Amino acid sequence: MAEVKLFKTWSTQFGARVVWALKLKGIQYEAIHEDLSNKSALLLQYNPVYKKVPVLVHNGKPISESLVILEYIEETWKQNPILPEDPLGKANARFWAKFNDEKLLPSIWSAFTKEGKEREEAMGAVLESLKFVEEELKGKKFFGGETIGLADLVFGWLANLAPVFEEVAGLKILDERYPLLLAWQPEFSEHPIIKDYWPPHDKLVIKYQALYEKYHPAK
Amino acid sequence: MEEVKLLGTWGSPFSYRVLWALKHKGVKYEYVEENVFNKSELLLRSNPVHKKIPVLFHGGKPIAESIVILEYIEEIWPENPLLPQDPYERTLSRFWIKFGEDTAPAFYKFFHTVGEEQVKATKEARQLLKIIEEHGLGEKKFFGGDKIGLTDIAYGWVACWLDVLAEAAGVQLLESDSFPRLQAWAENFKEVPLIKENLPNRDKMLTFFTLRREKIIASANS
Repeated sequence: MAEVKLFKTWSTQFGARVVWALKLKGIQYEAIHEDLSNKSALLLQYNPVYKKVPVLVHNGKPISESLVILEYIEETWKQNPILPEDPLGKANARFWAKFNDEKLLPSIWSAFTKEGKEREEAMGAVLESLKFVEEELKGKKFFGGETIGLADLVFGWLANLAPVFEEVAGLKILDERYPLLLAWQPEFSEHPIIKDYWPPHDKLVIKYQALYEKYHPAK
Repeated sequence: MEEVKLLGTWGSPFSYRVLWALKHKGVKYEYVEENVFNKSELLLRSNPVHKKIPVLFHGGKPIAESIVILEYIEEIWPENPLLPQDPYERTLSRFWIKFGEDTAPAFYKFFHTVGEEQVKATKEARQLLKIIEEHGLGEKKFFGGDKIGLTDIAYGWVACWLDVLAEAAGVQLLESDSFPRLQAWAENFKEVPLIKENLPNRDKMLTFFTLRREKIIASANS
């Protein structure tokens, strides 16, 4: 029986991607909870370069970086693919995964942590980016088409975490300007596999409220 | 056989990655030079999200983002593979390719900054080189082992562009005494016939980057 371990925290969106992929493929794994303020020796041994979660360990071999882990999972367990068969479709999914991680996420983080003009500019960038993401959903139920794919897992934070940012930081992220994304949110979050691993909203609000106050101390 | 076209620029390491991969696999393609200071209709139409080169066209369909393009090329033309067969080894290649991508902004910072900031940025770049040398390359001749692979191609900018940028910016980075293995790798990489025969003219690059550097300094001092 292949041994699969996943180092993560309860709230990590990057870890959630990996959990969803494993569950979609019916892979049993052992979750190892990390306290990021006191990282385990094992985590540091398995991910000396980044020292972050998630880390997947398969038969004793560690893999870091969620997108890299997802590609590994896809190649190792062929059932319920999260990438389409055709190379162009694969390229497209990878393009959007990169776009989320390299453009959208940094912008939203800026909007969450900054103030005044910087926050405004960051939100502007977020909304511009979301226009492209919305476009990508045209004629599709999921980014993956009829079924959940790589891009859905990567954009998953839009369903799980964006509402938290909206509540805590007063940011307007997904509104009537993005009808396709608004329709996608519940399709994703209510999918039985996804629903079964869902960092809880209330707990996330508490966590991010505390974080928000750190970045915006009351004067 | 579907038509292959590459939209790139003469001095871009991202453009060259794709070019090297295509040539490695013996793929016939048409090269189109893009003017990034006056972007073409074709570029804006084929990569509306980033508006950047390189863009690969295969049978008229565009693919953007150099690393995404490399994975596409590897899959469409599996002969002369650039990724290892073993899934775990493939994963390691992808990890290091991603590391290079994620740290690139930090890397290029030494070129875009002056004074104290530049000193700090140069120090950080050296730390990243150390990580790449120790954990990524290790004792291997190439990242791909005995022969170049996708990771080598992805890090081609370290071998062929970094020293030009460093010279233009007046800093020292990849000296052989600080990074002996990485320096050896850079030399070996540049000697690979495919690479040797497909490199932008160094003098032209130095002129170009020196001019860029002068503009950066001027705007920093204004």
